[in-house]
Amino acid sequence: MAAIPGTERGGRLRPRITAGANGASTGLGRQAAPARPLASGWGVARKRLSNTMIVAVAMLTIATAGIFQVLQSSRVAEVGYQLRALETERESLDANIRLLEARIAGSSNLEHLREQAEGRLGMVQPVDDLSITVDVPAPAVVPLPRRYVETPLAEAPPEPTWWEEFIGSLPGFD
Amino acid sequence: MSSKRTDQLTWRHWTLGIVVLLSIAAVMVRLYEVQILNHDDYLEQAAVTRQGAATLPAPRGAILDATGYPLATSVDTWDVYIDRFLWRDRELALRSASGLADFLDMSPGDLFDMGTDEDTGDVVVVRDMDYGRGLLLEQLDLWGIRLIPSSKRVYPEDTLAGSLVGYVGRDGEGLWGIESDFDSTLQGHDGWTTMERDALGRPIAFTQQRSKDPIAGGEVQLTIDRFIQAIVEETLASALTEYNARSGSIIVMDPHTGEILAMASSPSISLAEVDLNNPDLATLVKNHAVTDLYEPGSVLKTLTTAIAIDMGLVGPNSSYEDEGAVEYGGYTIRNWDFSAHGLTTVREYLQASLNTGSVWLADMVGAESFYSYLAKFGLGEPTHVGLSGEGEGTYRTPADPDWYPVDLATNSYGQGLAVTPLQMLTAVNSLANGGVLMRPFIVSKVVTPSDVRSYEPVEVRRVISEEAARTTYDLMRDVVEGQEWGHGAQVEGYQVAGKTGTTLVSIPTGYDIDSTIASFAGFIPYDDPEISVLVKIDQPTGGLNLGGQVAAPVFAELAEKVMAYLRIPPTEPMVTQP
Repeated sequence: MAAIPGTERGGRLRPRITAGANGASTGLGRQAAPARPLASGWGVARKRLSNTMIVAVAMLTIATAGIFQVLQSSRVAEVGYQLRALETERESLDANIRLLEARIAGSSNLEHLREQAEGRLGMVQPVDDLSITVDVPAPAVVPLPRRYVETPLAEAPPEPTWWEEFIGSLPGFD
Repeated sequence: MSSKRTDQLTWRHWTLGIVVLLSIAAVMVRLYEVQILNHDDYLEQAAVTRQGAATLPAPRGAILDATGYPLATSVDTWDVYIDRFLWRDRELALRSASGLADFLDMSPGDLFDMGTDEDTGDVVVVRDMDYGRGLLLEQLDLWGIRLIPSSKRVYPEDTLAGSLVGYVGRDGEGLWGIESDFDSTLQGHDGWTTMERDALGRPIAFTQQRSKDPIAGGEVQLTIDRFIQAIVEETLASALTEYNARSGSIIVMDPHTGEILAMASSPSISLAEVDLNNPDLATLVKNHAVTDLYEPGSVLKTLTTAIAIDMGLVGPNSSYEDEGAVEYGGYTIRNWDFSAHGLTTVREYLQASLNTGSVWLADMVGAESFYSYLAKFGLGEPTHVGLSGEGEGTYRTPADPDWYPVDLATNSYGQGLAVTPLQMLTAVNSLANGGVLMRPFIVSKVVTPSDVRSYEPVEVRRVISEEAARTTYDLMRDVVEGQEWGHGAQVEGYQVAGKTGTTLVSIPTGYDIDSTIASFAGFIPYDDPEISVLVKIDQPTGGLNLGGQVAAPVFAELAEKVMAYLRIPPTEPMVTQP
């Protein structure tokens, strides 16, 4: 393609500048614009990207960030809900423990034991005590009611799914 | 006309820029003021308008006996309220009243009237609803029904140790007994939580909450053994009936440590039927074994004898001439049975419990030393057992203007001075403990979420030498085991050391000659005493009224059961019935 007179590659008009002494404008022609700096790397890249693409990338970035934000919020809400549910369950279990302890104590009070022994099992008060010496050592300690049972082993948490692992690996999700 | 664009900034640009900058600066200044300078004020204002607060009640700690059994504990409950403000919506209120009435088996009309008679405030419908039942009610999500966490005090052994364990009032404060004395430990500290509320005051889910967890109340473990306590209470009740007595007290201790294993008084209160409006409540809730004073009578002769032996004035076989009466300080003092025994040893005087013998010993000891020893035995000062209302006891000394020489004589056999049952047993315990006075204690451990405090036996002081204590203790064995005609305190298979006491009841004009206080202090088994017991029966009117007739058999009955419970094998050969 032949070049248009007065133009350089691409046919863009370039003003003709007539400079006077010391670079002052002579006023004879169109006022001279300052010289443009040479195109930088970004400028080159900018020229290669269309505006549509830039907008698309920007929107995609914003959308991705938004989705992560939503995911994060929903995750926080879900964990908060689970936490609250667990707290409620713990409170309920604590209350039930106290209730059961009281029931056990009520079931082993002396009056109840006496009723069960005499009424249900037909036991009677001893009339005469007979002590017999035997050649075996006495028990070291009189067994006492144990108020607290051993703490059961906690159940292992379920294995996380690949999705949970992926979410958990993201910054801010752990 | 076409306008030319120019890159030069005009005054308009500068003006606009300055206005924008000033505006941003103003906003930033305001933000700084709101968010930093006055942060707390605005936070509080926001909290008042938007946030609600709720108290998280701390569970009250349990009172345990020596075996870990809860004598008092708390269970979670709910108090159910109607929010009258929300029930201004009559249609929703009717629906809610109907649902609540079905649940509570109450009249919906009554509930509706109750919740709509005023426009504001909450009205309580049910107190102390069972925890599980409350959760079911909560699931119904009835309009304007609030469930407030509460708790209920439970006394599994409801008839046992009522005045000792104590009781908790509606406001959660201990009213008497351990519940009152250790109230601050048992109560714990309530927590709180704040949550954002909607316009109707309902909590909004998933909003930011601030909270402080409640700190549970500490557990107080007693040295009281509920099995021994039950034996003691049954024995005391039975004795009061048998001897038609007005009141009484029994204390069981470990003489070596000062641990109180059981302590019962009558009259007392049953925690199963507490009536706070009962006009006699103040008497019923008193722990008479700790608060009430009495004249110990001849039980105190053991101390008089121990003092004289410790000072080296007499031994078990030292003797005096018993003429049945002795003149002292211008008064004639006679033996309780008006008998005269002639030449009498210290052992014989104690066995026969002769007043003339104790006057003889006290005269040799002298007033100054006698009262000094009484103070060392802990008489006249509280034992510091840790229970409120403890009596100090009282006696006059030569330093008091109203003291007379005859006081020394009467004090030597336990008249004219006053002690608490706990004081008396604590003092006598030192005779079985090598002459060392131990501080009685009833709390063995206090467990709080952050601390465990164990109470160990405390040696108060050495009162007399080990030899003097052993000699006196042996004499006490002879009192029970050395009698030709037997003794009411004897327990088959065991040797017992002890001393009876009988004193007239003091009244404002002197003494009531028809009323006695019968008592017995003893140890079993003699060789290595596991328990010491003080039995005090007030004003028996069933014909028998002496310590040896009333209190000593009660000791024997009680000691036999406790020995069986503690699995202490008999120390003496027993004759068993075929």
